[in-house]
Amino acid sequence: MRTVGIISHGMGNLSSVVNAFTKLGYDSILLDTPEYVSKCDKIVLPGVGAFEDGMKELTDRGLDESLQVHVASGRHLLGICLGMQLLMSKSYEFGEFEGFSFIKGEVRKIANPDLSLRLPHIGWNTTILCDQKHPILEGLPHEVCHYYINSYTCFCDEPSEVLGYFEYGDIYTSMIARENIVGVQFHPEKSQNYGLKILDNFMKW
Amino acid sequence: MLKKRLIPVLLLKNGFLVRSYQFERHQSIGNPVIQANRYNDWCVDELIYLDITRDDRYDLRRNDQKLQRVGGALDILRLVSQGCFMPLTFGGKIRTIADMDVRFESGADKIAINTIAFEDPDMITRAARRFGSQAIVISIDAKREDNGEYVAYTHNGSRPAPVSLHDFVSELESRGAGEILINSIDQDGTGDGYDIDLIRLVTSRTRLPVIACGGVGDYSDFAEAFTEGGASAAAAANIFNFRELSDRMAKRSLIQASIDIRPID
Repeated sequence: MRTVGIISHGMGNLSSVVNAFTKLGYDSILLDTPEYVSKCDKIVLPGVGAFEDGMKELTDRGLDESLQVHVASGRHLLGICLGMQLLMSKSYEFGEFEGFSFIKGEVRKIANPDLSLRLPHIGWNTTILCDQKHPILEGLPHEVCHYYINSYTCFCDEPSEVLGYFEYGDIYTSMIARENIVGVQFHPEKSQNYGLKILDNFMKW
Repeated sequence: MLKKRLIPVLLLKNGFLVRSYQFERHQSIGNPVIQANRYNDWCVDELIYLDITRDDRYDLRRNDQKLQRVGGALDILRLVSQGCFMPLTFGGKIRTIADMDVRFESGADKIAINTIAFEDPDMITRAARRFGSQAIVISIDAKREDNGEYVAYTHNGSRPAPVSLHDFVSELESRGAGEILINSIDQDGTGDGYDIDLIRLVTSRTRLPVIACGGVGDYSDFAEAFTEGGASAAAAANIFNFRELSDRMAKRSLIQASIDIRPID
C-alpha cells in the first residue's frame, strides 16, 4: 500500500504530514469530503486546535460517518494530537463534548495544581513505550524522544489500550491502540527519525 | 520529563540569510533553504525563521543553479518545510489572520507575531481561536533604557511599544498566546551572552513557555538561559550560522552543565 488518506478538516498544518509521507516515499490524498474515504486502506486523522471545532468540522463535512465506516471495516486509522483526542469518548476542553468513542476514556487538561508547570506542554519529551510488540512500534527503543505540543491529554478507561506514556508533573498517556486504531499525542511528522519511523510502520502495518 | 530546547533562529532579508547586529546592521550570509536542510540533518530541536525584510524584494540568485528561483519569503518557507521534520516557526510581516493562514498553508507549524500583537492585542485571541494557542508565538524585542527600565519595541526594534513590557507579558496567557520569544536588542549580535535580567523578567511574569534569544557568543552562554533565566528554550542565530557542528557543540556544553536536553542521536 503506497497511498495514505489524510483527513483535511481545516484544523492545522496538513502540509507537514504530507511532507513526511512524501519523504518516506508514499503518496497522500487529502480527504475533505467522504467521497474517497472508502478507497483508502490507511487513514490519518491529524489536527491541532480545540476539540469542539475539530469534531464540528468533521461532522459538517460528513467525515465523521465515513470514518466510523472505515474503522468498522477493519481498515487502519492513525490519530495525531487532536486527532488522537477525537478518538476518545468525551472531552472537557472548553465545555463537554462527545468524541468518536473508538477508545473509551476522556480528554482533560494536564493537571497543574501548584502552577509549577508551564503550559502548553511544548517540546521534546520522552515517550516510554509499554508494548513494543505492536507493529507501529517496530524498531523503536523502549524510551524515545518525540515532539509534543498540548495542554489537554487522554485518560484511557482500559489500561491495556495504552501503548506509551509521557511524564509532565504526572504520568500521562502518549499512545493508544485498540484493534485497527492507533493514536499518538506527539507529532510524529515533526519528531525526526523516531517520528517518521512510526508513520512508516503505520503504512507497513 | 520535558527536555530543554535548543533553537537556531534564521533571519531572512530580501531572500537571503543575514546576521544582525543590534537590529541595525545586516550582513548577508547565504541561502536559507540549504541552511535549513543542514539543520534537519543535524537534528536540532526546532527552527525559527524571521523575515526582517523591510520592502518586498527577494532574491536567491546566488544559488539559482541549484534551486528553482523563488519569489518571496513564502516560497522560501514552502521549500524549507518540505525537508524540515521538526517544528518550524515563521515570523515577520504578519498583520492579519489571512497572513497567518497563508503561512500555515505554506508549511509553518507556528507563527510569530510582534508589532500587531502590541497594536491590536485582540488579534492574539482571534489567532488562538482559529489556529489554537499552541501555534501562536509572541515575539518581543526589548531594550534596557538609560533609567534601567526595560521597554518593548515594535517595527523591527525601531519604535517603543505603546504598552509596558510588564503588563503586556502578564496578559499574554489569558489572551491565548502559546509561547513567548524574548529577544534583547542590546545583546543582538554582540556575542556577550543573554540579557538574563530581561529573560527572568519575562519568565517570572507568565506561565507560558519562554524562548530566550539574543547575545549568545559562546556555547557556554546557552545554559544560563535555563539555570538563571528560567527559560524553556534557548535560541540563537549567529553562533549556529558561522560554526560547523555548532548544534552538537552547544548540546555538549548543555550536557556538561547538567541541563536535561534531547540526546544527540
